[in-house]
Amino acid sequence: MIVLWLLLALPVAGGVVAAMIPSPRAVLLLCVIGALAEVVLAALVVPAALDAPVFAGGRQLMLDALSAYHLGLVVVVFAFSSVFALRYFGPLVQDGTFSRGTARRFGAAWFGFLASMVMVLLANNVGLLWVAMETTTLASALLVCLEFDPPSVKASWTYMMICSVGIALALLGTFLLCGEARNVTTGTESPFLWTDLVRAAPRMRPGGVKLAFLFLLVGYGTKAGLAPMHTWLPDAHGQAPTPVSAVLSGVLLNCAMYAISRFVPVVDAVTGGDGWASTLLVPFGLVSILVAVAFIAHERDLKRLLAYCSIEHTGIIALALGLGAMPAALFHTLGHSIAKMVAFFSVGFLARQHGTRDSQAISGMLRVSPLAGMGLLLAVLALAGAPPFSLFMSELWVAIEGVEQGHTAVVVAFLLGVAVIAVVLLRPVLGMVWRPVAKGGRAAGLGWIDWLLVAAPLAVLGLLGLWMPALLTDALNKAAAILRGG
Amino acid sequence: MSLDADLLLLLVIGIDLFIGSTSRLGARIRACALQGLVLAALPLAIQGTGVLAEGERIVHTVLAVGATLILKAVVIPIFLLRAMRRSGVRREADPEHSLHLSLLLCGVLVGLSFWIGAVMLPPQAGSSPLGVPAGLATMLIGLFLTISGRTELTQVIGYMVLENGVFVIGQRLLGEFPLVVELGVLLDVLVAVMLMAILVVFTNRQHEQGADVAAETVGGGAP
Repeated sequence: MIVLWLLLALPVAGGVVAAMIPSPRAVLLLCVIGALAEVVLAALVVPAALDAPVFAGGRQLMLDALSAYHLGLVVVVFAFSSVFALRYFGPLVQDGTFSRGTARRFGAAWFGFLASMVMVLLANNVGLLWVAMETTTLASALLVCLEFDPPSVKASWTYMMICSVGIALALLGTFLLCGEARNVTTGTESPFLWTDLVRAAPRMRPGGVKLAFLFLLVGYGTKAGLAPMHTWLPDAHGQAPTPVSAVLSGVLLNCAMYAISRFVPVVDAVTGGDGWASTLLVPFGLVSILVAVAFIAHERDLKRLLAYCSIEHTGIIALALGLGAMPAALFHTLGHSIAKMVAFFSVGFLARQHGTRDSQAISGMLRVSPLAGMGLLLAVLALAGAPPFSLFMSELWVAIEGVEQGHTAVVVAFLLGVAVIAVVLLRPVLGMVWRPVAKGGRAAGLGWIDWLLVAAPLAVLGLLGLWMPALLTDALNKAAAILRGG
Repeated sequence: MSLDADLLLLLVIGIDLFIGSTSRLGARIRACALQGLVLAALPLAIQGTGVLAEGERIVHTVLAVGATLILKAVVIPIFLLRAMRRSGVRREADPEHSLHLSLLLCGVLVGLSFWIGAVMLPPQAGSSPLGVPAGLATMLIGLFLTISGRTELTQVIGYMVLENGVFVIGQRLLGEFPLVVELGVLLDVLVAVMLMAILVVFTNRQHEQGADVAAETVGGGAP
């Protein structure tokens, strides 16, 4: 269908145009318009894709329920972050720090980043999936070192090096899997197309496929920030400009988890559903949660704090996939993306108003900056798994599914980890609220757009914790059915 | 003209060992270029040069071979050599281990690859038995360079070597890749290496200016 091509062509064209526009403000506006147009395009095709897969380009591109669900999330988070970028970089345009060159670089890389993530979700060819995933690394590495100051360059370097090497292992995994598939595919089946891989899976040799999945998990797991391959993540997410951090944490990690989850049904079909994949996913998930506990407790920089929190939530999603709680994993993905996005927006505003990101140095947060302070407090509460936010429901869902499957010990460890994280995550934030106001806080100059950016997503999160629209339940079930190999 | 795949794969391993045993970055980059050249010739050797006479596959083969040749043997090495000159770092700075030890380790990695290759992926009839061991050895030595490299350029070279190794294994397993995948991967590697090279030059300039990259305090940098 033509819309799939348009979904790719629009951001590519946007990137080219953005690289040629002379005015920084126009570049930022173009990013907003482009991202909103992408939302409209996605809205045209997502409902159809939820019912039946949509193909294009000789089945090289595909949008099915699973990728449609993620696509919806990507375009919405991107649209919000583009508006935030306009608000965030706007003042910098006026004082000249956000120069013409920076703006062009930002516009091109921002659209390139969007295009590559959409490509990850649209690729039916697992080779193309890899190519797109590596492209996301390159585009986002450029965004991380946008200001070209030494710490951000160093963070960008570490990010690119570790992720490129990690993803090279995923390429080996892809080749191993396709090599296995080549021995059994017949006729018009192609060993590179995911749809054919799933169909041919029962005929493949388990040994070869397991080896391939190991490399895929470690490779894409590096990108997803699963411990112990997470070392690049806090630096990259902490040093990137805040709108970029929001997208990195909010949806890029999802895309990497999506890539891993695509291969789960293939492995399950090969191994006859003996749960081999989950014996790998569960430990990775638990270790990520535990590692996050250790680091969150000692972190003062708010952005790095949120970055470690992302490792925790990626861990929860991996754990949910491992426990077979597919709809819960997807629902948690949604909650985490939205909450993390709002948390980064709020930190962006706060840091601007207080002149620092150090949680020990900020005081009287709600007094000095009511909107950003309240936004951060509520977003962190949501991330800590407090009711009524949807993350509470999805974590509960994972726990219930886990107990029903008989993994009580795993669930206990999971709940303990989440509880400790809730405490260590809230402690610095509550400190910023209760500490008496010190001098130096600049009064807020935030407009209605900023209120919309922070309040609207939080309202949705709260609502989703109390009431599930039938549309969302339907989408979750259809996407989960694909993960179960249905 | 006939190309012997086994000979080419042995050459790949030889180049790995050379890269592991020299500390001159220029020599490493040139060796990497040579490895790119060998890699470009590999599909011709595996499928036989006769493939060039077949009408429909000629476009595919010429494009794949040509792109590998131009990017891996010419463009990327030239870019890396330029980055080396501009950053002013020409040698691996005081290596943690002597070059003899490094060479010995690389030798062990090669041996290990032959063993793993024999256990995990037994050679199939009609394909070179060296494919998987050569690829694995290249991957492992690339990883070794990336991890142990003290200069950024060595890490980039290690990444290139790792990528070459993955390609050798892929070639052995799949024969040929779909064109979009092959070209896409090549393009990604090109852009990745270019970006890395830019950051290398930038970082080393910063070092020269005496800026302390590590001195970043909490709450510093951009808000």
